[in-house]
Amino acid sequence: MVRRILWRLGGLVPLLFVISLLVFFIAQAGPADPVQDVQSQRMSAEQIAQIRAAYGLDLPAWQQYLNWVRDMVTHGGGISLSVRSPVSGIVFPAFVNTLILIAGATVLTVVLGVAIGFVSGIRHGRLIDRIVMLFVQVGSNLPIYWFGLIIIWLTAVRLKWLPAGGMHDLRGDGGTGDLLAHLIAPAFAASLVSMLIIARFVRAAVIESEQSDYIRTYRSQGFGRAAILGKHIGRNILAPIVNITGLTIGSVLTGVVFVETIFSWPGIGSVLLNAIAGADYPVIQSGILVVATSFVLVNLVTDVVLDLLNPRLRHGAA
Amino acid sequence: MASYRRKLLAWAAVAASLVLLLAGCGSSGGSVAGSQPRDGGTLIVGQYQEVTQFDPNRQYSWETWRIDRNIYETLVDEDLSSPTGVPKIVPKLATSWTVSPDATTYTFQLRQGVKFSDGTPFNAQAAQFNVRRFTDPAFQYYDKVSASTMSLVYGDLASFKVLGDYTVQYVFKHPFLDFLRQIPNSGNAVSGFFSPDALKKHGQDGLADHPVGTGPFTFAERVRGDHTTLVRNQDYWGPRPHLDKVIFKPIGDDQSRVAALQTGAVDLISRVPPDSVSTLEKGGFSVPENRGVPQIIYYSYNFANPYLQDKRVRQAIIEAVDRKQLAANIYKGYAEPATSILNQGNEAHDASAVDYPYDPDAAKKLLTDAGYRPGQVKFTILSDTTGQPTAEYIQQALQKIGIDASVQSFEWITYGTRSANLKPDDGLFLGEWGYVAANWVQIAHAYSVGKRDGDKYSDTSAATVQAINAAAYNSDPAKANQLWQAAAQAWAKDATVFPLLSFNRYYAVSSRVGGFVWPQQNHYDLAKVWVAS
Repeated sequence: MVRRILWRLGGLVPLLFVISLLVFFIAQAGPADPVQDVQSQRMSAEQIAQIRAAYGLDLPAWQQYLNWVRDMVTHGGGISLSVRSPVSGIVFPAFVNTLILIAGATVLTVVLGVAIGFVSGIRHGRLIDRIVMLFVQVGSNLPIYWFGLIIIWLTAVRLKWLPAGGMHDLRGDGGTGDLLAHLIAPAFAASLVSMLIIARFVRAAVIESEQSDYIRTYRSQGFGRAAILGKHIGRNILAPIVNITGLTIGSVLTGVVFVETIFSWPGIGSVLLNAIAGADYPVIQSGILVVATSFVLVNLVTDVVLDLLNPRLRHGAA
Repeated sequence: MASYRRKLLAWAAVAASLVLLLAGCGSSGGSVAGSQPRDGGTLIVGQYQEVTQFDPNRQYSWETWRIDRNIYETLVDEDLSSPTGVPKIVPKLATSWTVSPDATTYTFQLRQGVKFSDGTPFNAQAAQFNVRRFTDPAFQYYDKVSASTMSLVYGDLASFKVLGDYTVQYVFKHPFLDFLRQIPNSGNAVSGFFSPDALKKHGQDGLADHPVGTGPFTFAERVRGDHTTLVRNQDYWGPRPHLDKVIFKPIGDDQSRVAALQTGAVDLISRVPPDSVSTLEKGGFSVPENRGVPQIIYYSYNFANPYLQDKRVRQAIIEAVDRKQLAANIYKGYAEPATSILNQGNEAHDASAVDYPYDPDAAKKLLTDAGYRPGQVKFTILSDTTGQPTAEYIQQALQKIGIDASVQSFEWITYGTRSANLKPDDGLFLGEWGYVAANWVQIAHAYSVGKRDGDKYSDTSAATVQAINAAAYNSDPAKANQLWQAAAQAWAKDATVFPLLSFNRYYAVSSRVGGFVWPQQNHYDLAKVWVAS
């Protein structure tokens, strides 16, 4: 088992190398020029050339790549071109905020997704199932931007239950309760699509299990419904839920940019958006690399958890 | 069947109670802030953009200046306590000043006993350090970036002299009547003084995150993308501001910003979307009206686009658009049409000045004269997302005269980069600027035309440049407005800039806030603002 994990970790090295190459050159290939910004409109060609040289932008691409890798390894990225301060101080705090949002969204995805799917599955074909499935169908097709605004309007402006955005109350001292209150609405918006994917999946799995031969056998032997549901069906669909959760974190990551914008959540999405706008290569490259790395890590963790859940893999190959 | 019906009934009841719940939480008018000013408390401001940086010489954007001007102070200031009238120039870090008759030499007596918030003194040496940073290439702390930004105001500075510990003198190569007006004026090229010690300690790039000035508030922290906090300067030389703390929070999305105000998360927002004005007013928020703020939305032309090198095409574009209707319909009357680059609120503003009147038939004829068939002239209009409805309105108006325009809009910061990297297919691109000072004509002409080789494409541009220079180098205050108006009119003939409109609603304020005034300026003074407890 340990060897399998180490092997997988070793496999990350070439993968991350390829990712870093892609990230670097895609950012380089972007249409905008980092030195052509609002301020530079007032500079002479000579001044612009000086600034270009000062930031090493006149070097050949491969040399810029090596410099960037060196900066990444030594202090987590170079100096931002537009903000002119260290990239690590811009990217990492923002990414931690994004992780908090993703963690919240993942919890909601799993808990609500499983709950909705389970209720719908065991009530298969009944009214509640139909209503739930209607919501699931409609919900899966909602544009996240619009949905976020509706949530703000409903929970903050009309009902005044939740704050309208941001990560904490600027008047208060913060604290965990305050953070959670601010987290609920954006996490819900970010989780909606993946939550409904899980719900549909769980529903189908429950229906399939309930109709399967071995469950019928249990039932015929007089096992209680709760025991069957919890112990057998639950355990059977656990691995696929983990698998799908791992995959949906990826889709949460992509949707999170919109959610962060609407809910003024100070995460990596807005940082990347501004960086792309300003052609701030070091920030774009480091930001995407951090996101890509965490994506790869999530997949790795998912695989390891799946291995742990699967007795055949646990005792077999290793 | 019976149970089915019962369940349906239960669901209906749930749905109905939900609706009632929503309806019950309708508009709630706020109570009016105590009429008596109160010391203490925190004001939270929701801004429509992320700010740039807190280095006065490098920063740009109005939202940044609205923060910066509480940290850094200038030699003279404007009296921003009245909502109407061109703000009066008043002493700030200078107690008095004299201007030479030819308007080239400005001598200031500096205020004594003023300290930067790091404890170091403000005096003639500190002022010299500041000025040398952006004008003297031989200076150890010379900064190229600052020099290029500050050249907007100090490009013609011949010398800066220290005449005593508290006396300094600026000498310009040409008469510069608008210098005093430019000192406290702008979101670009800020003349606020920073502590030389802070620059030495934190370096050229470090000042932005460690701003130290003499102002009524000091910088506490900036969390990028989230907020900037200022706290009251305990050792401020001037009158105590009421507020203890001011927090500025960027909320880029229009609807989210309005929601933040409605829920009390913020107390004041800028750039109110026209659709939200009446909702907010009904909800007990104040959305002050001001028809004299020196702000103008305009389009510049891309002279690299071959169609727009023809003056007749540019003129046709202006004549095709009914700016009155644009302001009345798209902006619901919360904007005024602008028919001259000399914006409302400018010292030389002339409401009767019109570049080219609305006349779609004449526009069509101009295109025919230029040799173009309907549909032949094509280009892209670049805009920020807030300006998209305007761009679409213009797109439709142009379609009616046979010009095929497409619209591309971007979030503001993206727009800044995109419009600095124009492509040949681009035709018009948005600008948002404007000044109280009349030399705005010269600045606008330099940015929209001069730096873009636009002067090549008009047979009257020599006259424009001559008229602008005549006004810029004039030293007689009595003649100034007339000369600038003549310059603007001469420029209008070239059809090399397309003024559109100015907003008359911009801020929305919660009823917890007292003493907020929207003066005829692009920023506001927080000195007399207070919040209810």
